[in-house]
Amino acid sequence: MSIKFDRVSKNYGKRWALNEVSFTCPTGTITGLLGQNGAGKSTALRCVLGLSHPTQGVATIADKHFTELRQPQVMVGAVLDASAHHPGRSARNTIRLIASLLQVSASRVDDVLNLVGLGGVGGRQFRALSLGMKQRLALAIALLTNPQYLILDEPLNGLDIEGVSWFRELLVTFAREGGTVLVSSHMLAELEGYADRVVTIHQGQVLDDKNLSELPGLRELVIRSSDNEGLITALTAAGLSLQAVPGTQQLCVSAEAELVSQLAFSAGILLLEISPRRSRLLETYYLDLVAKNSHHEGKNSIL
Amino acid sequence: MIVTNLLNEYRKLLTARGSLAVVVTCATLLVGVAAGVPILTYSLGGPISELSASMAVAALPLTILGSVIGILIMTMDWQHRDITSILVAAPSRPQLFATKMLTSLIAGLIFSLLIIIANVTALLVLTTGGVGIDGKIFLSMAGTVLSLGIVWTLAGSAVASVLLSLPLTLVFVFVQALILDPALMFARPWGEYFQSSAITSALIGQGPVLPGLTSATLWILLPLVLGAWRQFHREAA
Repeated sequence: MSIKFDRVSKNYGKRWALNEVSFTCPTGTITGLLGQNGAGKSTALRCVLGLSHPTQGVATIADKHFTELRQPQVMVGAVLDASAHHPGRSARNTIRLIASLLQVSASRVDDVLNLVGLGGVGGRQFRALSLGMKQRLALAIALLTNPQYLILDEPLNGLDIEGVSWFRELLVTFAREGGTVLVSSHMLAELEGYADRVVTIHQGQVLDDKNLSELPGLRELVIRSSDNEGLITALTAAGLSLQAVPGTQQLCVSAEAELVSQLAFSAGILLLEISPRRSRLLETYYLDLVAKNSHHEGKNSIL
Repeated sequence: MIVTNLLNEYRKLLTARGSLAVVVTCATLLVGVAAGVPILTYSLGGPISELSASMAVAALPLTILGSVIGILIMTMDWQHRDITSILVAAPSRPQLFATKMLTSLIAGLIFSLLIIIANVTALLVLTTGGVGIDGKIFLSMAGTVLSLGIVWTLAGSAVASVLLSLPLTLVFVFVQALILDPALMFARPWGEYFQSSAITSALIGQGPVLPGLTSATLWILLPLVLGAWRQFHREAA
């Protein structure tokens, strides 16, 4: 029941937007699609939704092409271009239009409008909505049918802080309940917080396909205690390795917060601080990957 | 399902401010002219035959306004890029295309009926004042109006399905109706085979069949086939 790209290629004239792209988004996971502008992310998403026809290869959902699914519109929710709606139609009518195609009740329309926080502006014309509101409206449309799959292209663009936080919770809960998410985003720090895996596309080709757990140090915690030496002893005895954060009283450990708390509690040590390490690992990983590839391209072009 | 899809197309047309304004303006213009022409003819002392045929004059704007509605129905999803959400919600492109053509056809019928009703109402008001109407001419004119409504709305939709752009199709239709068609009148005898008005003339039995067929092929059938192919294959982005 996964989303699968099998050697998908797509050309526009002489330009290859996608070149033998293959990757899988397993059920119950969130897969982040990374890449520069024009790398081919949106084309890939359109291919899997049947909006664009691959030149070669197949993109499937639950082993079927989107249009061959029994009820594709019910199974899959998508956000592709939040600004792509008639500017002179109200937010509520925009969503009602799609709801009637999906044979979804009018009460569900109001439910999702309230869910995304647009209940109060349903009568406002689409052109008068802010970018964040348009993004919320697009998410409301994607959620109309309680789908099993979410395919989202830059869904965080323009969302405010509350919106981003709400969206993060929504995706994590959705995946935890067995849903499958494929999301393209440039907000790597956000992706780091909820994605299970990332696929990096560069100039239409997959550069890497990685589980985030394989990135060393991604789930690190920063801790500070009343007795750092005692804590080091306790955690080391439990098989964990710690590092001091230079110039601070903080320690860094790669472990679950619950385990660290338990060990500190057992050793009679008071934890003064325990928080996820604010890292830029995904960003570093991504930039390294793209730079390495560009370097190779440079070499090749010289040769 | 067909009814739901049809209602959805009308909902698209009537829930967006711009297209609603176009529909209301077109309907008001058609009703105004349909009711106004017989009243004007009567007040100027026109003969009964002229009064009975007033509907045909009133229907002339339908050639352009019918096309405009057909174009609007066919292009609005693509023009404002709602098409991505629509195709995710209802992925069958052939179904969408067929629904739009059917919507145009019904819209053409509705507009024609509006003209007929407005004209009949005006004539009824005048006949209570003792004016007679030639029923034969009147019925023939009603047929003309229905043909005009259907043909021009379908033609507008057909061309729009190929171009998929509201401004481009509007320019095309205006040039065709206001420049090309009149110009072809001077290119007899072959010109009539390409004149779009030949379709209506053939339909109401006031012109030869062959030019009607060639013209219908050129302005409706061919664009329909090309348009269907384009709609089924165009990237939705």
